[in-house]
This record gives sequence, C-alpha cells and structure tokens, in this order.
Amino acid sequence: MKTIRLRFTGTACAACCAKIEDEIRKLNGVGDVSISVMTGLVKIKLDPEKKESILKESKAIFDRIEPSAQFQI
Amino acid sequence: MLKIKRLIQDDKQKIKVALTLFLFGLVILLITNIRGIEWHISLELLSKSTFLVAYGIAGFSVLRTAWNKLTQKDWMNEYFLMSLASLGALAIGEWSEAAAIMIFYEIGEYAQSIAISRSRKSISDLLDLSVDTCVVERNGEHVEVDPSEVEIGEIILILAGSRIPLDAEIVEGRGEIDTSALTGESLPVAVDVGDKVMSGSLNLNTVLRAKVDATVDDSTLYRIIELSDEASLRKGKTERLISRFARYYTPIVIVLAVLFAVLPPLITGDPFLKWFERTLNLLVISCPCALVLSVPLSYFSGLGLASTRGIVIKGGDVIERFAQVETIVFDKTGTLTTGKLELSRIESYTDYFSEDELFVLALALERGSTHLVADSLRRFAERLEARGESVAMAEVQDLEELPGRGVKGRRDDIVFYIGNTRLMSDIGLVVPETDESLSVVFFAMSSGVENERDREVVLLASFLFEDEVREEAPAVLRKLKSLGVKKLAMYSGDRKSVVKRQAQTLGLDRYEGELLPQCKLQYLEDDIAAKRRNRSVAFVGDGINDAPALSIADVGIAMGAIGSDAAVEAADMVLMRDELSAIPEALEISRKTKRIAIENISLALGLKAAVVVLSFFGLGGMWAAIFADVGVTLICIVNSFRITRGSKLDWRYAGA
Repeated sequence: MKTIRLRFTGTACAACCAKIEDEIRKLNGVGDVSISVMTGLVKIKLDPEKKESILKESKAIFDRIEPSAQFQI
Repeated sequence: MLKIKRLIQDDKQKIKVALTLFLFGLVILLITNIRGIEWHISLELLSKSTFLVAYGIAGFSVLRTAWNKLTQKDWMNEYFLMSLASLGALAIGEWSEAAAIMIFYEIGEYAQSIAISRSRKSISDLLDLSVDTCVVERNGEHVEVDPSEVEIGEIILILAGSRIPLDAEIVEGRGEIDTSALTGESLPVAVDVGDKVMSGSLNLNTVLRAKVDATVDDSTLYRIIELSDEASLRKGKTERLISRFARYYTPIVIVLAVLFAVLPPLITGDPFLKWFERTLNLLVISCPCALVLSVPLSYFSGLGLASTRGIVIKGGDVIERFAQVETIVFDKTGTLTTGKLELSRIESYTDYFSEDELFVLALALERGSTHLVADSLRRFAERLEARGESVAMAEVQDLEELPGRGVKGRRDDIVFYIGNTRLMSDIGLVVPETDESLSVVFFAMSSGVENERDREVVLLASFLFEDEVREEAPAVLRKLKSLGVKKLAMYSGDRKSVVKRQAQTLGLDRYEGELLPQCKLQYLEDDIAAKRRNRSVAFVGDGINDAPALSIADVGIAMGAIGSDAAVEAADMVLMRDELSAIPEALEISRKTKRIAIENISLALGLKAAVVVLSFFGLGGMWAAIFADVGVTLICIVNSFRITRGSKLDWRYAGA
C-alpha cells in the first residue's frame, strides 16, 4: 500500500465530499481515503499496481457526484 | 446567447441578476395591489414572467445537474430535491417562491464557497512568505538563484528587509529578525553569529551572511505549510459523525416528505394540495451541506487561528482531544525550565588533572552528544573563546552514549565516564554530596581496562549546572488549573532534590526525579490508564529524545522547534513559539473551536427540526423554510469566523 496526495480545485459541497470518500473507499485496491473540503487535498492509500485504474475511477466519481470540482490526476 | 451562458456560469453575477429580477417582480406584485389605477398591460403576467426568468437564471445549473444525475439513476441528491421543490412550487402557482428557492439556494452555496476560500487564506498567507529568488555565494561571486537550487552548506546573503529563503545559520553579521508569521511573536528577535534563523522570517535591518541548513522542502516554512495542509485531512469524531449522519439525513427528509404528502390526507380527508405545499417545505430543507460544512469550517478556522499564534496543530482530532485534557505531563527540562543548563562550577576531587584539563576532556567526551550537558559545555567553550582564551582539544576514542546515564570514551587504556549518579553506581562509585539546588553530572575514570581485577575506578570531579525555571511557568500552570486541568505532573531524569525544589515553586500536583527514559514512559502510561472516559492526557516535551512519549500521549506537544524530524512526526502539536503560554492558549483555542462547532450543529439541526414541526401544523410556510435553510448556512459561517475574530486570547503570562 502506498499513500498518494492529490488535489481538487474549485469548490465541492461538504456532503458530496463525504459521498465521494465513501465511493472511492469501496474501489478495489484502495486502503483508505481522506478528502478535505477545506483545502481540496485528497489522500488515497492504494495498491500501487492498481494506481492508474483507481485514479481514473476516482475522477469519474468526482465528475459524477460533484461536477463543480475538478479532480487533478 | 453566449452572454447568457457566461452569466449562468458566473455564480456571483447570476445571483445578482436573479435577485434584482426577483425584487423587481415583488415590486410589480405590490403595485398590482394598489387600487384605483388602470394599467394597460397585465401586471400579473409581467411579474410572473419576471419570476420565471429569475428562476431560470438562478436555477438552470441546478436543474441541469439534477437531470444529468437522474439519467444516471441518481436522484437522492440535493440538486434533484431542490429542482423538485421549485418545480412543485411552480406547479401550484407559487411563482415567487419557486424563484426564491433557487436564488437562496445559490446564495447559500456561494456563501459556502466564499467561506472556504477565506479559510484557505491562513495557508495562502504562509505561502506568500516563500521567496522566489535568493542570493548565494558561488566562486566568490553573488548569484541570484531559485532557493530550490541552493544546496546545504552553501552561503547565502540575506538582504535587509527581505524574507529569509531557507533555514540557515548566521556566519557573519548581526541584526534583528521578525518571526511573527511563524511564531506569533510580535517582538523582533536579536540574532548574531552562530544563531539559526528560520525560513519565512523577515530580516529587518542589516545584511546577514548565513550557511544553509536545509533544502527548501525541509525548511521550517514548508514544513509548517505541509503540516497545516495535512491537518485538514485529520478529522475529528464530530466531523466523522456528522458526515455519517448526512448520509441518512437526505433519505430521512424524503421519507418524511412522502409521509407528509400521503398520510394526513388519507387519514383526515384533508385536501391533497394543502399537504403537498407542506411537503415542498421539507424538500427545501433537504440539503445537509451547511450542516456538514460547519464542522470542518470551524475546525479549520481554529487550526488557522492557532497557526497565527505559532501553534501548529496537526488536525481536528487533536483539537477535540486537547479540549478534553485532564492531565498534562511535563518533561521538565526545556519545557518548565529554560533547558539551557548553565555550567555553574566544577568541583575537582583529583590531582591528576587541572580544572582546565577536566573541562577539555569533558568537552571531547561529549563531542557527539545532543544532550543538554553537551550543549552547555560547548556554549561555555564558545564563550571562553569569544573572550580570547584558547580551548585546547583532547583526543578520545570509542565514544559511546549510555541512554539515561551519560557517555563514555577511551584514551589509551583509560576509560572516562561522564554521567549521573546511576552511571557512577554502575561502575562501582559512591558519589559525594553536592549542592542540592544544582543539577550535577559526575566525571570518573577507570584504568586497567584490559584486566577486570586490576581495574581502578576514580571519581575525578563533579560539574554543577543551573537549570532555571522559566519565568512565566508558575503563572502558566495556575492558568491551566483555572481552565480546569485536573492534574499537572513533571517527570524528569534530573536529580530528585532539584526536581522537588522546582516542583514546589511551580505548584505541581505530582513530580518524580531521577527517572530513566523508560520509567518516564511507564509513568505516562499509568496516567493514560488512569484517566476518565472521554478525557485525555497531554505530554509536553522539548522534542529532544522524547518521540516515544509524544506519540503515546493522547496529545503530544513538542515545544520550541520544528527541527527534530522524529519529534514533529510523533507530536500532535508543535509550538513554534518557545513560550509556555502557548499551551493554555492552545487549550482555549481548542475549547472555543469545539464549542462553536457544536453550536453550529445544534443550531442547524434545531432550525431544520423546527421547520419540520411548523410545516406539519401548516405554520411558517415556504418562506420560513427557505430562510431557515439559507439562514442556517449563513449563521454557521459567521459563527465559524467568530473563532478567529475578536478573540481575547492575546494575553501574556510573563510577570503575571
């Protein structure tokens, strides 16, 4: 498991962040995830081998739940 | 067309235009009520169309998002519910209400985004302290480069009036620096050759030459920025609880809304329309965002306030635990005392060596040590040299640190020991009485290393040190007591007589001296085991060799430096300001932050519950619901900013 730090820009609603956290946490290969609505920091603990697909799916989750936040891969 | 598209995407503009139209519509409605004037156009139609346009401008993006989500079979979101509420209002002919729902929803959202970006200011203010260029000396020339290109050990020139780019040690020049951005200390600090300066400080009025200690990424300023950033990810119990609650909040409101719409008409035979209106009220308050945001917003404001006072708190969880602190344990040296041991005198018991020789030998033995005794000897040597006296060098080999005891080293076949009573008794020496009010280390040697039997152990001298209690300490401890901290304890490796005398001046509840590091840990563990439920135990250390204690305590507080990696890693709170008063201040900030977060939650839930009850009895109506919803958002935001605003936390204890 490796921890990576990413960011989203724009603003997201707080409840959406919680929802996004829930969904990313359920992805295969994700150990844990924490998102800060305040700073836009996204910390994901993941299996490095599945990194690419996890990030792609995370971005899709962001776009679906909170279109006004841009998740930067 | 393009203009309209741009308008809809710009939140501020959109709200302004929609609100203006909305007010215009209201005015027209008022005019229609004035009797006796004949109008040639239908005012009613005009007002309705004004409301409709306002509705479209404010609500377009919400409606579109709701639709997009609906096509993905996601309907349990606030976009859909807001759309439903407003469309429902349109359906029953409540034009102005429909527009108001969307406009005020957008105002609420906008206020939240403003609040977030305002809070981020505490971090961006720190970022502003970083500099893009710095002057470095290379091959006898001054070159201007990016600080990230400067290597450790290079000499930089810090001009008067400029920010210090990297952590460095002054090699030439003396002057004053302003560290307020990092430490909250508003008075300038005098610096001289040999002093370390932190990146982000402001060099006030002279040119300084300094040797770089750390790369940009390891420099104080960046580490504080990183810690503050990371702090937002560490969530407290309350925050997690509220986000979990938010997941059920929307479904609960929907279920209530359906029950409202269906049950009463079926049971009482009331007209459906009457209950349909009440149902819409519930949909208006279905968005839990203000509620969920209020907690991290409060905590982040608290973290920001603390950082402006030189207190780096590593997360919302720390704020919560520290607010509940019941016991505070101090590691004496460097926290309750200044930690700067001053060599008071050397008592010699031998004729083999002169006092000067003893000092030089001791200096050599402590060469590799980070212990305070070593620091003190080095400082003493520097002072001698500064006075023009030469300090000779002694050759010693096989230096070894003996944790909790001292150091040993060898010269030829003589082994030297410097350490406490415990070390002396380990090598079979009984130590003489020394001045009880001073801290002491003993200096001994043993000859005949090769052969145990011939070994002769001799006590050479005792070095007596003064470790002064910080001036502000008694007042700070009294303040902590008055804030309701039950137990204040001090565990120290220093000799019992000194610990006892200092503890009595300080008014501590418990003190222990002559403890080995593992015993200090054991005592701390006992305190943690003895605490009451939902209370916490804090440990305050100077960050030197106390990482284990910092990490097992509920709240580990490292004082006065971001220097030691292990300590910063292990601690929950780092005090950049080397002042004890930062501790009660941190406690007050934590308590205030927590109180405001709870106020926000109660307020938000209370107002929303009130809407549900009022709607059930047909009171209040849709306007009440709209204002309750946006009102909650605004009140929570203003309340969170109250943490940083008008705080009366700026007191000092020194001399109090």
